[in-house]
Amino acid sequence: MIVLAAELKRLFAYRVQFWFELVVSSLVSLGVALIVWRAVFEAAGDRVIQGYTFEQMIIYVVIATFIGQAVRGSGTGTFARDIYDGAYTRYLIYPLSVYSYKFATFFARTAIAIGQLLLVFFVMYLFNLFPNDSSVTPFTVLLGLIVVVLASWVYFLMLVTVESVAFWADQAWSMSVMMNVCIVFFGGKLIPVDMFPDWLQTALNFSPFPLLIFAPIKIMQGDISSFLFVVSTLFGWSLLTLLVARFAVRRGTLRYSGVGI
Amino acid sequence: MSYIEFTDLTKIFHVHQKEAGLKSSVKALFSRNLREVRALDGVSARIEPGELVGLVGANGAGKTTISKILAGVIHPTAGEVSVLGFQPWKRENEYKLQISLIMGQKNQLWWDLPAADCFLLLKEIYQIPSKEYQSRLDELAEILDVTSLLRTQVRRLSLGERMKMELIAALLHRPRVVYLDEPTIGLDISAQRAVREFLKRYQRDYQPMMLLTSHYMQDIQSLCERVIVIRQGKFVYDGPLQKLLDNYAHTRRIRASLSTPCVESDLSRLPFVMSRSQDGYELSMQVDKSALSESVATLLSKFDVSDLNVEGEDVSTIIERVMHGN
Repeated sequence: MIVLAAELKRLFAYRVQFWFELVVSSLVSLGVALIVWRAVFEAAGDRVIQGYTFEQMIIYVVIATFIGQAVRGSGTGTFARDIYDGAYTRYLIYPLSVYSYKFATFFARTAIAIGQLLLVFFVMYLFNLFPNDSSVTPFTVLLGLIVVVLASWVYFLMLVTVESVAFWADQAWSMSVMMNVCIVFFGGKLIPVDMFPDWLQTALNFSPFPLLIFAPIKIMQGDISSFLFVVSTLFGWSLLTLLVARFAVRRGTLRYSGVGI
Repeated sequence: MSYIEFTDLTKIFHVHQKEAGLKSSVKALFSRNLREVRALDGVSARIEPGELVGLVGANGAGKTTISKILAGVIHPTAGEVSVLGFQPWKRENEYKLQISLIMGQKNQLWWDLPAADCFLLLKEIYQIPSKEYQSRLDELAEILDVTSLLRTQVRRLSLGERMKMELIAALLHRPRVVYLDEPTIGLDISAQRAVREFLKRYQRDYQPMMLLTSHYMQDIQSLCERVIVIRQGKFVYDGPLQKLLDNYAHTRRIRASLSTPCVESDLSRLPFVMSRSQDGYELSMQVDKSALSESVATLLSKFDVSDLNVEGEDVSTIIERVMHGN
């Protein structure tokens, strides 16, 4: 908790950056998605595309924007940068777990994004902006948030695994960006996963991607029947990714030379 | 039991080497030349509780590599190491709670936070009880005269102020072993002096074992009774600093003040004269250690000397001679 608090203090230290990311970045992301979907629905001329009305797509996009930010936490590059510039030494000297420390700093942004999502829901509820057929309730939001926290842990471990390549290759930036792109696209942040072709959906069932963003969105939108399945599958993925991450970091630390000190 | 004991310690790095030019850069995309760098070559030493040992050597000699291995940052290639009974690279928490690494060239504090917040974080990491934490922080901040700066963001502090905060951060948990890697590098003269005085006082009061690497001879002279000189990964001297100076100093400098000025032609009687002041009242000579008595006798017999000073050779010169094997 103290590490989480310290990271929040660090984020709050730069007010312009903080407000810009909180407000402008979110609005731009939302705005672009809404414009694109508006154009798609107008071009299609249908009220329903693949089971989604335009109003349902708006709700999806709003939730996807903030869940995407929440799951991706502090984003890519910090672990690889620590290895590259020697800051990783800190985790070898201090009596703390690199995983718990880095996840606490990662989760600070997750916490802020969750706060944003709750605020948006509150405003929408207050002004009755939910469509008539919406099934979003405080209970579904709570269940969805449980999945988001678990999803952010899995994403974090995947990121650590990929960025531990920096122990060998010095620079791992492009790999973590690629992983981020995969998660954003195949995770359902841009397009709902159930709009993909059947063969792609089947293939993605063998990956954690749909569980990271798409699954919590559907749960928040009222599809709570899949909650137990999603949670148990994410637990399984978290165990697997933890084993892989620990192996990669342990092997990588043997090669670490503390460059920069 | 020795606090630190290592035997036949060896560390080999494999470093990628590339020729200059675009062609070589393209070639390196497909295959790389690796060069073996023997940073440490079978070195051994024991360091006892309460000792403050200086480790000196040229750039690339292996000083920082030793600190990194003993702190558990990297693994040795061969050899045995025991620090407080632990193998450092196993990084057991019990070991980490008792050591500290202070790096003059690398900040460990959180750049965007005030020092006070950094220390709170370290209090939790090292599980320091609140009362002890506050009293230690107050004491260290007062000695280093940084109490008024605790709420300032670390990145906004000057280099000297930042180094003082790094010292506080490293000593809050009262480590038994402290590795200091160039703690005064880049600091101005008064900041260097302040850090040295602080380390001297801390070592006297709390008796941790300290291993200090530094390029500044004032650090070594001021703080260390024992010094290890490392050259190309091997220890070439390990013992008292004074003995090193006595054994390796070849010359003495004689400064003489004269009652009657001497002229240029007088100097032919003294072939070892280095300089003469313009008015002829001051002479400076550098003579071989073995010829000191004879030189002084010649000076006194041939000139009207009102004052005489004999100085040892500059410490830096002596240690440099040992470092380079001259």
